[in-house]
Amino acid sequence: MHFSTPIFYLVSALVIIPAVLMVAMRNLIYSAIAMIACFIGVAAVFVTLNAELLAASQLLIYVGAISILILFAIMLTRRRSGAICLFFHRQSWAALPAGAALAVVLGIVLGSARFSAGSAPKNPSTANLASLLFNQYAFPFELASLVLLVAIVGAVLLAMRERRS
Amino acid sequence: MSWGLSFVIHLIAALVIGLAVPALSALVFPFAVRRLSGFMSDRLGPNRVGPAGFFQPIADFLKLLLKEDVAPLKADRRLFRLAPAIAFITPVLAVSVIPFSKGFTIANLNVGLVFIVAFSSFTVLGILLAGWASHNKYSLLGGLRSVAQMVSYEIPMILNIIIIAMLVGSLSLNDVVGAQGKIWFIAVQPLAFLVFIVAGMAELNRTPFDLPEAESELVAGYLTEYSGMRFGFFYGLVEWGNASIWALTGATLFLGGWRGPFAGNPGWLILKVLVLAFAVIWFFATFPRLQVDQLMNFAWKVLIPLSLVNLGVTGLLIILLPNSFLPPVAAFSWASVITIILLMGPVLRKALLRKRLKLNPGTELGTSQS
Repeated sequence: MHFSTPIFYLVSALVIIPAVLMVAMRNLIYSAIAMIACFIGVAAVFVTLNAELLAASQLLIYVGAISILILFAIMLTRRRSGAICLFFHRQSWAALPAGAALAVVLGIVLGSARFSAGSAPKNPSTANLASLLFNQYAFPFELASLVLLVAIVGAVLLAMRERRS
Repeated sequence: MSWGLSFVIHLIAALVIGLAVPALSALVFPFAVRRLSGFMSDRLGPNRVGPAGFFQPIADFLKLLLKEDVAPLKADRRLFRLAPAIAFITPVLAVSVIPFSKGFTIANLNVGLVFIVAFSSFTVLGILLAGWASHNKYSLLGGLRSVAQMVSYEIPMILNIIIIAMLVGSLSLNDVVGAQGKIWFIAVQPLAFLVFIVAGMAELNRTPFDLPEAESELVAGYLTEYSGMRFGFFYGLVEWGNASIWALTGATLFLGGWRGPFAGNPGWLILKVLVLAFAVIWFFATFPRLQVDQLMNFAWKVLIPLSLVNLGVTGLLIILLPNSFLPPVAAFSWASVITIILLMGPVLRKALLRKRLKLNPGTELGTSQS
């Protein structure tokens, strides 16, 4: 597939606009939907990079699992009464230096990063990805699954304790 | 051919076929369900409009189109209107990765199997939003129930798709069809096929797993507040479109896809899809509905362990016998299917006896929430 500039801008807009909306929306459900749109945009970025497996996994895991769980959590908790002011309140003064510091760090990282420009992106084959994941990076991969398992056990334990009391 | 032209042609093909498949299923399936389940329960079914009732779906469609589009006063109108459209993304997109005949796939991806599973999340999202936006407790409970069910049954579904991917050694649907030249995978992995059928019924919210629409408990689940064409969208295009996608996937994975005697062509695929759809309708007319706690137990305590064992043994056999793993895999799968069928009667009887002694109302999602 040929990688063209207008599609890149379109896809970037698909990521950035929902990301801003997610923070700006007042209704939590709307924020969650904006976040889902952002995830779909990231999947589109993967597609433009010829990484179809990553795009599918992005849809499957972030849209299909994580967003659904977040929506579940929002719907099962009671809606907060009264207006929630999100953009301008006392905390924004504390947020300003923190955001500035993050921007500086990101600027340094982006400035020092080397992007391979010019050549078309390589097609990462599924088989190569699998052999890397299950040979070279098998230990971190298993470690991540262990962390997730511990999280699940912890969640079940908390739920059981709540039910018993 | 230039890249842009090819893009436009593929886009048009994807839209035409992606819209045609759900639309045709919405016309054919509801009518077939009513007529066939009528015959199965010794009734006639709709037979007044046109010859043998063939124009009934068109009459229904016109009726839905002409009805007023009502939204509840307190509903979140924007989401209420958006939800059917979000749910409709799944059938439209998923069609594009199915191979219809040799060299005819709209999007020939090398990870088509993962994409089919990934696209199914949009329907889950649409149903969840529909339930929430209706501002009705029955809708919300129905939506949550439906989503819990779809998410749970997606796991055995994916595990069995992985089994087929391991047998083929590829995630491309074209390779899956290519690998079934000599023998269809239903003969190699009948166990995976059975789990695929059961999990598919549950994921499509079909009887015996149509709890989200349990009339006696939840009115019509997430559909309660929908009327007119938005109801038609959900009930016809989304649900039956997804049923078609499921049947297309099943036919491609287990029944050899477009392969058939004489020359492989889309006709064979459509025939196999109709056979699978007939099976869906057959179950619909035969089985009673499960309880919500039985449903979750069945997914997590029966289907997932069964699929994991099948996955493990199949993987082991492929590693041990890299050149001739099909006969031992088939032997294992057939042996387990026969064992399960033989054991089913005694085990179920024992479980029913235990149930009668100690009736413990479930506290699962959907029954204990206020």
